[in-house]
Amino acid sequence: MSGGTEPSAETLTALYDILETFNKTGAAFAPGTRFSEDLNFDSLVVMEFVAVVEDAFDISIPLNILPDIATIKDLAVAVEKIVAE
Amino acid sequence: MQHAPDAAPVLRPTPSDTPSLPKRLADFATLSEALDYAGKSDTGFNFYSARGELEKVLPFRDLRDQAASHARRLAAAGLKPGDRVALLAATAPEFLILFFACQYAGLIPVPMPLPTAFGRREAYIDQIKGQMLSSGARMALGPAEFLPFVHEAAAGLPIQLIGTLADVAALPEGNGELRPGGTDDLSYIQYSSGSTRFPMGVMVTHKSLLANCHAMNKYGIDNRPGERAMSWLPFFHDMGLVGFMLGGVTSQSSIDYLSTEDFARRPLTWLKIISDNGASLSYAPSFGYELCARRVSNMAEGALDLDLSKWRVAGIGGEMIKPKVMQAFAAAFKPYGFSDKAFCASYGLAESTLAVSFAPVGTGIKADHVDKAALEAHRADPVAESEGRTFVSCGRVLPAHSVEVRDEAGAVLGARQVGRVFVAGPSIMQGYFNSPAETAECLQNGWLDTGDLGYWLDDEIVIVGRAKDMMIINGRNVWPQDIEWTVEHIDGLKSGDSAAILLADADGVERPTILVQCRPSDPAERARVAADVRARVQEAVGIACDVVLVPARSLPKTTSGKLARGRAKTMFIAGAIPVLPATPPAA
Repeated sequence: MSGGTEPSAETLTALYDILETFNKTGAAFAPGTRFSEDLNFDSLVVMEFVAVVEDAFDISIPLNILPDIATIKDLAVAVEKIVAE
Repeated sequence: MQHAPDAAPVLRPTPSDTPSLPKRLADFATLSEALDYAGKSDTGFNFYSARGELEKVLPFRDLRDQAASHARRLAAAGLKPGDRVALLAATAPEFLILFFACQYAGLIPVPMPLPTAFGRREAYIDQIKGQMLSSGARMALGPAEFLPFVHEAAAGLPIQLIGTLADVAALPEGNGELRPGGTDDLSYIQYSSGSTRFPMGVMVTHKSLLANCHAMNKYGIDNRPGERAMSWLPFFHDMGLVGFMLGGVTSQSSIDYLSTEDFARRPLTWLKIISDNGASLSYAPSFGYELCARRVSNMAEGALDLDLSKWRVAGIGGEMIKPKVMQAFAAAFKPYGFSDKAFCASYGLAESTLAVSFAPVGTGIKADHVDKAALEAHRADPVAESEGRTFVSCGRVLPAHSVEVRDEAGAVLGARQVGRVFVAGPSIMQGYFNSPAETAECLQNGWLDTGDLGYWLDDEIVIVGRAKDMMIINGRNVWPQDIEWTVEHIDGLKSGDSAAILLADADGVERPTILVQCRPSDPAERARVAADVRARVQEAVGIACDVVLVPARSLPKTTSGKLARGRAKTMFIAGAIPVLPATPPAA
């Protein structure tokens, strides 16, 4: 999903803020930070995190896009796309 | 969620009872016969949103009519009786219509999982490809948004149609004949928690399914008129498929659904729906209760508007039951009318359709504390709570079913002796699909080797772990769970970070080895982690073991999130799990 689109700094910052409460590995956040490998998110944490992101952006994130979201940037792009729709 | 509701008439959930129709508890010969009968009721399925709003209603009578119509189309499309149809098991009416269409057409549905994790596309594709390949599926059906995954996974497989319910509805209806399977035909194939590379499809006949649903409803949960169930368990798991879907249809009980992913996002919606509809039955693995208890832990008492007083059977199954977690849940929800007497521990596995034993309803959790040292000598000697390991009784074996606890030589053991648990009876699977060798390994003379270890506590069975995982080290039985528990309480490590296995060295001598997921990237730091693990295991469990550091998230898990220990071992031996280099600190 890491295509040509670049997410805005606001979206990234908002996601970093949310991620802070889920960050158990002490990893630093960057657009390329990976949820599985770097943040060690298991599927329960993923869903809990998704719920908070949904509330923050007032959107609904469909399940079928999750497998293609590997990094924070991927998620930011997806969130902006859903918000725009 | 942002859309205004349609101005259509207000949706109403199906009632909990049909006064004019006597309740029958799964005393049918086939599943299609069960749905024919449920189709005379007013009860059915109700689907709720993540916020607990009713979105779709599917009365059993509509399910019957739609399933029959789609069955004719599947038959007319050239599918032969016994052909397999892979179904992406979303918590939605479409899955149920297609699952029962298969029943009316004599086809065998194969429920497949949905993706639930970030960035795991390849693992997911491999998983569903393995299931379609193993089952020899002729069609693969599911919601449109997931079909791109199916197309990718099905590349090269002889599948004639990949599509949605609407695509099936668009097929011609043909001559209109239904051809439901008979009582000895397969009703479905379920891929349980087997590995991705070697998936094992459990074959269940109508007769076994109905036998299990009957025993479960009548003797397990004591299903009564007016019973109402609530479930968020996925249809691709035995507990969700049998316990809380087929168990409901075969007993004409209404079920309210929250999708699994919505539950994971908003676990308290589970309880809201139970409260709103006065549900009396709901099941979950321990972690479901844990999630809810965690969510309310920082709320003021009484902050939620819930009435859980009608929740009569709060079932627990699917993983080792953690008494502390259950106590925390009971304490958190007591102010809302929840009674800890509602807890009902049970034991089961897909290979026995679902249920094997149930604790008596209304009695709550019965914990048993046993001596750790004696456990290693195959005895479950009672001790004071503070000194022992705590297990939960899974209750009495269902009527018409038998359980034996056997030692390694096959001798039947008595009370408080730990051995392998074998099950016989009408619910036992026919075998693993197309896998005679694996079937013969676990199914002999009608007895199923569950691979679980347990002991008798009076007439109740207690499960203590998986036999296949148990390690014998210098004559001592060591439970890998104990080693992992120790490792995962080291700072910087967490639950699921380790897998304790036996690995043969160059001389064929088996050595206890711990695979540890390691996050630090500095080699010296890694070496410190390895040394910590070795020291703590030596200290706590009393064994010397090899420590192998592996990357974060490289250890395989079952679909329910448990460590797939056996698979970890196979993958490690096959070189599929990379080893992280660690430099020992200079001496």
